Amino acid sequence: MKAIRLLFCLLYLAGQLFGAEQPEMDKPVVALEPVKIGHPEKVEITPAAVKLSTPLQQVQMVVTGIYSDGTVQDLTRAAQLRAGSEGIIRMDGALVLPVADGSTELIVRVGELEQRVPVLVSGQGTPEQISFHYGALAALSKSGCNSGGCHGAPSGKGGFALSMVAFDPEADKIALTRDFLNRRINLPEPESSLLLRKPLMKVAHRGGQKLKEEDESYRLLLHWIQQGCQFEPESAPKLTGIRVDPALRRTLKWPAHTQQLRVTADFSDGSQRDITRLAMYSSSEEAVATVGPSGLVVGAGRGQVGISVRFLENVETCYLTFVRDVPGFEWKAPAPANYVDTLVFKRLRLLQYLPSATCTDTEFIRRVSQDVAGLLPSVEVTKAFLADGRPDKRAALIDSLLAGADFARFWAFKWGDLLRLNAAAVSEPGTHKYHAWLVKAWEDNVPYDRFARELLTTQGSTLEKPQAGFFRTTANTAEATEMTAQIFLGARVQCAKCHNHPFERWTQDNYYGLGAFFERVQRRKGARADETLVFLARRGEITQPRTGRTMKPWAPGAGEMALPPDADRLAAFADWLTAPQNPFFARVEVNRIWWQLLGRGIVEPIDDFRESNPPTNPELLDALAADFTEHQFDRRHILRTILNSRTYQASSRSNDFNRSDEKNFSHAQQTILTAEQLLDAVCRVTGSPERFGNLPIGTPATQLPAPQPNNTFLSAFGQPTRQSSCACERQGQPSLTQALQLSNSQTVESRLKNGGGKFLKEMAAQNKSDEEIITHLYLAALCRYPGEVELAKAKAYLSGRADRDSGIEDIAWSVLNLREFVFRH
Amino acid sequence: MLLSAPNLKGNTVLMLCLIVACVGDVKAGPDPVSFRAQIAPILLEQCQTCHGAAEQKGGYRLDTFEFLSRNEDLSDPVLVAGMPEKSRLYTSLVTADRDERMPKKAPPLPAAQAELVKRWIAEGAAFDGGNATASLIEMVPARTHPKAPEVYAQPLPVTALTFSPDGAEVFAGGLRELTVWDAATGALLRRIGNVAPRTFDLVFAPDGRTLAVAGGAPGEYGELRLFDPKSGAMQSQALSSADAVLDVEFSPSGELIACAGADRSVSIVEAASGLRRHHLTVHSDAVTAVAFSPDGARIASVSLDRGAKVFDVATGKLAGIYREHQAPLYSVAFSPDGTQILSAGRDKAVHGWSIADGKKQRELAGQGDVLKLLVSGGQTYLAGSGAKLVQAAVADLKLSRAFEGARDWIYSMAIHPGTQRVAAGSYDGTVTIWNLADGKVVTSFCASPGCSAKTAALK
Repeated sequence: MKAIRLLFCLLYLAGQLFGAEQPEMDKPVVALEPVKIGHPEKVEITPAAVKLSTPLQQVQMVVTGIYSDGTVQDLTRAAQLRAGSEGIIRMDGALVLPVADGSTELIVRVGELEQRVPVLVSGQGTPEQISFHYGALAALSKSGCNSGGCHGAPSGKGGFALSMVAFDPEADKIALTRDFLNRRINLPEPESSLLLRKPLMKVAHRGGQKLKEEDESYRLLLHWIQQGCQFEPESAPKLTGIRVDPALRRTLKWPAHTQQLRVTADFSDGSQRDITRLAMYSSSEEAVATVGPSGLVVGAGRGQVGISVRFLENVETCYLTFVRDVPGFEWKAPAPANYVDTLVFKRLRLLQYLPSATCTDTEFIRRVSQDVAGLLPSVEVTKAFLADGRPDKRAALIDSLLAGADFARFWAFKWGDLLRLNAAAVSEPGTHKYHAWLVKAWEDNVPYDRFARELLTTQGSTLEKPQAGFFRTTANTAEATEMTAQIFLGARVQCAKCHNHPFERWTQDNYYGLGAFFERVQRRKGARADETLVFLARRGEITQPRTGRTMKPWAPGAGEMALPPDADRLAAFADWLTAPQNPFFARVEVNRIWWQLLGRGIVEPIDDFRESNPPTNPELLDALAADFTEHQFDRRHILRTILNSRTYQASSRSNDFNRSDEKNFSHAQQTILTAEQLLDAVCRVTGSPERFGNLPIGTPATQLPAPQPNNTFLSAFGQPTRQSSCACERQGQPSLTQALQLSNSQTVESRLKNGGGKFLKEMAAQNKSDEEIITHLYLAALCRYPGEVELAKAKAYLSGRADRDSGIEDIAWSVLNLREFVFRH
Repeated sequence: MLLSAPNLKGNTVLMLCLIVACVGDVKAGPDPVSFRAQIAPILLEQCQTCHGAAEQKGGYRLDTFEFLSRNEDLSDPVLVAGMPEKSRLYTSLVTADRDERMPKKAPPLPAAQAELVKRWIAEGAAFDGGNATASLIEMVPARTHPKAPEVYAQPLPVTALTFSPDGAEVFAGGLRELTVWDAATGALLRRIGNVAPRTFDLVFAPDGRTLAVAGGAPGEYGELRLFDPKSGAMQSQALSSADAVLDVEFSPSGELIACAGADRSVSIVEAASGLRRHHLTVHSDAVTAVAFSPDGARIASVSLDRGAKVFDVATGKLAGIYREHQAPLYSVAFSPDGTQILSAGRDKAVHGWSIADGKKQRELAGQGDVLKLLVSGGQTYLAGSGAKLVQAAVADLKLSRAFEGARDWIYSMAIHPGTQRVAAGSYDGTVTIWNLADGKVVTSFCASPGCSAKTAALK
């Protein structure tokens, strides 16, 4: 028996490590396809007029073909650009650079078509003063000098510290010019400055070569030093924003797969400047498209990508979708059950992925029971469902699950993870009260806006109002700010505590502005045991530590809020948050529900909503959010809508046309059951519940008020300790410990051995036949009847054994170690 | 990969060294490549950052000839005399594999340099640098620096300043030169060349006949040179290092010179012979200043690592340590009785502390970053980002006078007790000289030939 178990164990392990389907990734294409100009109906050239009014300006030209079938493609690479007359401008590819004052035309030729753009060059006789912010700091950022891994690290690198992506220009002024005895700059001989020689690798540089003499960045830094490292006065024009061309979402169809971006900076004096070569670019999905330092996006696969464009603290995102004809692809899909399917299928069809067929009844009942109630269905329910011939039986099962007690407790448990319900934070009895409040909220289907408002505004004793525990688990303003942002805004703002967010709009000012809402929350120990009193102070302001400024309450999109001095800022925040037009509130929650049901968010990770991390299906997310808002934030309604969709009910078996899709919901994901679900499943199948402290016997692990710290089975399968509000705290990585837990642990062994589980005793008492016992096992564990071969093999195994009980134990053991048991599929 | 294979038998290494040495004796060709003059400078310039004393990437060191020729991994030797194609030292420079090519993440070395390395190995990899265990830096011949520009394109921050022994002249650090100015009128008197690109400290020997010049090219090398202040002739190069020398002091007797540098070390050398008494690598970042105690028995050092330390000059042993500063330190001085230290830096406060217990006795705050601090006649004079020079009594650190008139960060300072003058040099290139007695400006001039100061103000 040991040998068999070992074999199973190895098989299981092999399945864990190697058996998981390896998605065949669309291989990135490096080579550029030649542009097929075809017959554009219209050719659009941006900008429509070129104006170069200082010696260092340059303008990126973009040529776009618009076709009669509605498609669009970037023709910049195929266009021939030349000056209408000599000596006014020069061309570097599609980049126009000034030579001397005057006017001319830029002649753009695309295939047979020729168009002209007027060019005006002026100001070439006057030296251009390089801006410290928009010249020197932008150049350092572009070259990566002040990135988080280099000199932008908190203590810098090699003794040279800059602020990350130049968020603290005042400190950078000193670091560059004054600090370390003017070590880095050589004013009389600018080329000898260490600031240039290091990144050029003329002096050994651990960071490698970061600059070339022909780079725009080098030119700007050198000029800035040549001009005496000047800092522009406070009154100088400020950057007000950046614009990216193309501004609208664009779909490119192979062989069209490149897009030249154009980035323009707008200044407070109304002036503009082309910063295409100075902006920083990054792709949200390198497998779909990459982007080069000059803003050329190159598509490599199918799918959507967000190209994030950054210039100092300004971030904009350009969304591109790349599609490509797949040979043999023919659209075929189940009839849409609701708008979810319509929108998912629309996307799949565009990207040429074929949705998988609908899953079987047996797959469905196991999947939906686990997802909604956290538990396996009983053998009786399974049998009845499988035997049911009604066409709407799935909808009926969904309704009955959503109405059940297990649903409310399981989703309360999920929120326990988010709200960090653990004994250390809110005390053991506190977790029970808080959990009970959450269960009640789910039982009563409290609208999500009210639910959020209760958590965010409740004051008083945590004994009487457990939801005030929100501010008990967050011990200070920083934690309250970060947890609120993570849970309700889907934003990880932690980085902005110390510096501007490296990839997103969140600035340090924003962080403390958001914090101003929570600064007045007071937490005091109550008179009774385990009591915390949460209340609001009448005064209290938050200071931005870098600038020393007092911050007004600020919310994303709403800006600074002018509130009366004694206003209840929590209420003001809740008003803003739960307003129907709030762009985050509904989206974040429907995305979280989607993620819980489909295994992957439309925005992934679910707490990382940012422009540079776009939803894979924006229309779907918008539609779900709108539906949620229209239905008064009824979460059960959203659950029901998703659960009834063909998309949710798709098989996890992929087909030839969706195997490489991981993000567009063409097939269901196979995911390992969570620690608690798996333990409950083992307990259910064996009929032997786990005992958790003083909780009533039979309490499922998926309904625990707080994590069980000493349960080795649960910790092996990644039960979070609820230290953070990040869904990532729950570890789903397969491990050897997990294999050993299932094959050899006390948890499993004690439930099988010597009639340890109730299941075996019952079977024996009821005088069941071998076939009945085996069938029961399969129904209980896998929600299906055993196949003929499975049944025959198991029966043969039993009949050949003198000790029937131990034979049954072995079969039960092998079922519990099946991949089919351990996974949701 | 370059390996650090520690289990080689000693005699194998010895044997290899012998092979190297034997083959090295065979001279090939009429004009052999010199390791000392031609190869060592390349290694210093290109390799030390990653394969030096401070860090040995891949377990590989190139800062002495001994390390270079050790060949720890016999299957992939670094140096095989006579066989450049088998020597990693050469092949890694020219390999087509970008991940393997040295220096990492950089364009290949100029072909001429790689060719030189190849020829040197082919000719037998002879070592002509004296002591094989000595740092390469010490064996490279002293540089001859190009001439300074006639006129400076922009003012150079004045990072070094001193009065001549009679107080009539002021010496300032320039670009590859020292400039000498009339202390009363601010007129340029003469220029002394063959100086490193930047000078960070200038100090006269107690006898007034030698001027010590500390400097270098930041990030590349450091030098301490001794000059005849009258003729401007270089007497000797007292020290070479891997990064700029930032501060220099003579012992009260003039017998010893202490200097500190961006290479994180403090050195004590004999002024007459240039012999190095101590090389103290006791700080974890650049050492910005050193000071001798009044009796010459101790030296104090401060560093960007925020630490201040005191050493016994005779033994080099640690005699005191101070850890209460919160920011990089730039300046240090002994109290006249030698029992206390004044130290200061970017945490905007001068700390007066006792050497015996390392405890703070008093503090002077509110003067901005303090980059320079001197003690003279029971008074301390300090300056830095505040763009003014202030005076306080050493005993209580109470402010007694402010010398106004500078317009930017002050990096350098000098006092001449005889003429009762104090001078300060600024980021904007100006030198300002005041009367100690009344705080009045005697003269102020831009110390960059051909320039007038223009300040790139911070705010």
